[in-house]
Amino acid sequence: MEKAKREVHFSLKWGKLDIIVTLLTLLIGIFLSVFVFFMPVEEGSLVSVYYNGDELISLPLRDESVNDPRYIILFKGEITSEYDDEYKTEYKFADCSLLIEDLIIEIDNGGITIVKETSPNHICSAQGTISRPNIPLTCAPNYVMVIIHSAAISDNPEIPV
Amino acid sequence: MKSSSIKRLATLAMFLALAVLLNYAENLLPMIVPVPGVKLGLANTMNLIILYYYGRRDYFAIGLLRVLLMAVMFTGVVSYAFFLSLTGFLLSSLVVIGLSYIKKLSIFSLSVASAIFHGIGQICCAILLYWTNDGSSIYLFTYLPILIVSGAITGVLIAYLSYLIITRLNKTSLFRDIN
Repeated sequence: MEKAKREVHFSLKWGKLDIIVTLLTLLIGIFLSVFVFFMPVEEGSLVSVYYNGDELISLPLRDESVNDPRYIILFKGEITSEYDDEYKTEYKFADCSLLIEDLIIEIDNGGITIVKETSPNHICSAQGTISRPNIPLTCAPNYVMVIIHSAAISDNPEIPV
Repeated sequence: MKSSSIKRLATLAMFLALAVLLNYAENLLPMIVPVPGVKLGLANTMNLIILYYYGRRDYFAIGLLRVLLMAVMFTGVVSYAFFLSLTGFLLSSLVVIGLSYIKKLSIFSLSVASAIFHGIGQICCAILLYWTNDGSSIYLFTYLPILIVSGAITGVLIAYLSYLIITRLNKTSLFRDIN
C-alpha cells in the first residue's frame, strides 16, 4: 500500500529554539505581571458594577458614613427579602434575567468580593477579593463585571432600591 | 470509499470524541489557579496529534467541531462561553497553522503559542462581549500576564503529553500508512 505523506513536519524534541521561545514568553509574562500587579498605583476610590455591559451602580470603595461590609444584590427576578438577615444592604437590582441565580457582591475594607453566585466551578467567587484598581473581577457565566476605578467619578451614580 | 479514507475518517472521529471528552472532564476538575481563562487545555493534545499525523486542514476542522460540539452539548450555541471558546480557538489555531510552516519549531513551541494565543483571543472576545459605555472592559487586558505565564507552563506540559502519546502511537500499526 502506498504510504501517505505527512503534510506537517515538526520535531517532537525539545530544542534550543523551544527553550528560547518558552523562556522569552515567561519573561514577558512575568514582566507584565510585575507591571500590572506590583507597581504602586493610586488607591482605588470607586467600585463600579456592570451587568451585561451596562453600569448598574458606582459606589465609593470606602464610605465613612456607612459601616462595612456593604452588599450589592443582583436578583434574577423580583427583589425579595430573602437575604436581608444575612446581607444588610440597600443596593438591590431586579430582573437581571441573564444571571444563573441571584448574585451578591461584598464591599469590605477596601476590597470587593463576589460572595454568592452560581457558576461552573464557582469561578466567580473563587477569584477571591480584589483591592487594586483597574483589575476587573469578572463573572462571565452571569454577565457581571466589577471593577475598582482609581479616581474617576461615575456619571451615573444612581442607586435604585 | 477506499479503506484508507474510512480508516482516516474513523480515526479522526475517535480523536474528536476524545477531545470532547477531555474538554468536558477538565471542566469537572477543580481549578488550580482561580483566574478566568487559565486552564490546562487537555483537549489540545488531540489537536496536536491530529496536526502531526493529518495536517493543518484536519487540525482546524476537528478543533472547530470540538468547539461546536461542546457548545451544542453543554454551554449552548448562543452563550458567552461559546463565543469565548470559539474566538480563542480561531486565533490560536491560525497562529499555530502559521507557525507550523517554520520547520525549526517543535511541538513545544507550537503548544506554547497555542495556549497563549487562545488566552489572547478569549480576552479580546471578552472585551467586546463585556463592552461598557465607559470602556472599562478594556481592563480585562490585565489578565494577559497571568494567561501568558500560565500558557507557557501549560503549553509545555501539553506538548510533553502529546509527545509521549505520539511516540507510543508511532509504535502501533494505527499510523503505519502515514509517513
